[in-house]
Amino acid sequence: MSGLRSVSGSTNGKNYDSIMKILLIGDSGVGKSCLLVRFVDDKFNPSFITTIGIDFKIKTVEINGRKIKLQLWDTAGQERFRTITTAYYRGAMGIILVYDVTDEKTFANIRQWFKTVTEHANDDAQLLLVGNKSDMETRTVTHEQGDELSRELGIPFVEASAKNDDNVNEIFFTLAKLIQEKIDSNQIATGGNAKDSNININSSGGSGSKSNCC
Amino acid sequence: MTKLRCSFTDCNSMIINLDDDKIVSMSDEIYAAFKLMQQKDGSHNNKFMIVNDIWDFDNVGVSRDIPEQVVDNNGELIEVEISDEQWSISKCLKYLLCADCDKGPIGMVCELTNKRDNSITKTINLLSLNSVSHI
Repeated sequence: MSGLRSVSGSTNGKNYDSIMKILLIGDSGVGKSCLLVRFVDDKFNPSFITTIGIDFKIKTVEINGRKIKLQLWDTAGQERFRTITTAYYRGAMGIILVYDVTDEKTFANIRQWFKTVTEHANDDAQLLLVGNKSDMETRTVTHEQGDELSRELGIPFVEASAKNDDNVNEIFFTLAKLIQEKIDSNQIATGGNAKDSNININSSGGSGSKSNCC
Repeated sequence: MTKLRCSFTDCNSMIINLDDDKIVSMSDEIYAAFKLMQQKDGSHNNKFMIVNDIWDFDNVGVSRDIPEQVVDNNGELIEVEISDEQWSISKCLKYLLCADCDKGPIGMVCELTNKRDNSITKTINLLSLNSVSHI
C-alpha cells in the first residue's frame, strides 16, 4: 500500500472518472447552504459543527456510466463583505449563481455577481442560474423574469426548492452534465487540473483554508 | 461489499465502501477527545478506517479548520499502529461530516506524528466506523 503520505498523492487506483470544482455564489440569505443540505426531520448537529462551518463537500454523481466527483464550495457568508478571493474562483469548472425568488434585490444583484464571476473565473467555466425557494408563496420574481435574465446572460436556468431533494440533486446533475459535455468536446481542461489547482487539505492554514475563509 | 452510510435512516447517504485492510484501532478516549458522534450499539467501537485520499469518499463533508477551543488537542495520548509503525495523533485539523445532512462528526482529518522519529508527520482522514451504518 503506497501513499499514506499525502491526501493528494494517492491517485493510483482512483475510483472516479473526473473531478469538478463547483462554486455556489449569490447574496447572503438566498439559501446557498440549504442547497447543500438534505432536509431530514431529526435534528442532531451539535452546535460546534455549525460554528466551525463547512469548507467543502464531495458528492458523487454518475453520468452515462461515468463516476464524477463534484467538489462543492459555498461562500459561507463572505459575500457580505465582498471578500471572495480570486483563489476561490481558481480552477472552478462550474459556478451556480443563486438568487431568492422571494427577494427582488437578490435577483437584481445577479448581474453584479455575473460580472464578478466573469472577471475572476476561467473563461470556460460553466455557469448556471438558479432561482431558489420556488416553493414559497411569497414569490416576487416570476419564472419568466428568471428565464429572461438567463437568456440575456446566455446561461442555463432552473428554479429550485431546497425542500425538494430531487430538485436540488437535479441542479448538480445538470451542471455536471454540461461540464462533462464541454470536457468531451475538449473545450475545457480535464478534471485532473482541477484537482491540482484546488485544495490540499494537508497544508494546514495554507491555501485550503484561505480560499474559503474571511 | 459493505457500504458505509449515514446512520440516519432518512438520510442514508453513501459515504464510502468499507475496506477491511485499512481498519485501525484507537483507544476509547478518542470519542470524547474529539467529540465524535457515536451509534448506540457500539459494535464497531474503537475501529476507524484510514482513507488516504479525500477523493476516495463518494460523499463527504469537510469542515473548516477546527479552532483550538473546540478540541483539546491532547491526542498525543492516542496512538495508532499503521503498517507496524506507531503514530500519535498530534493534531485534529478538520472534521468529516455527512455530505447530505451535515450530521457528525463522523471522523476527522488528523496530523499524525511518528513515535520513533517525531520529525516525521503525515495527514490522514480517519472515518469512525462506530459513527456510520454498515450496510
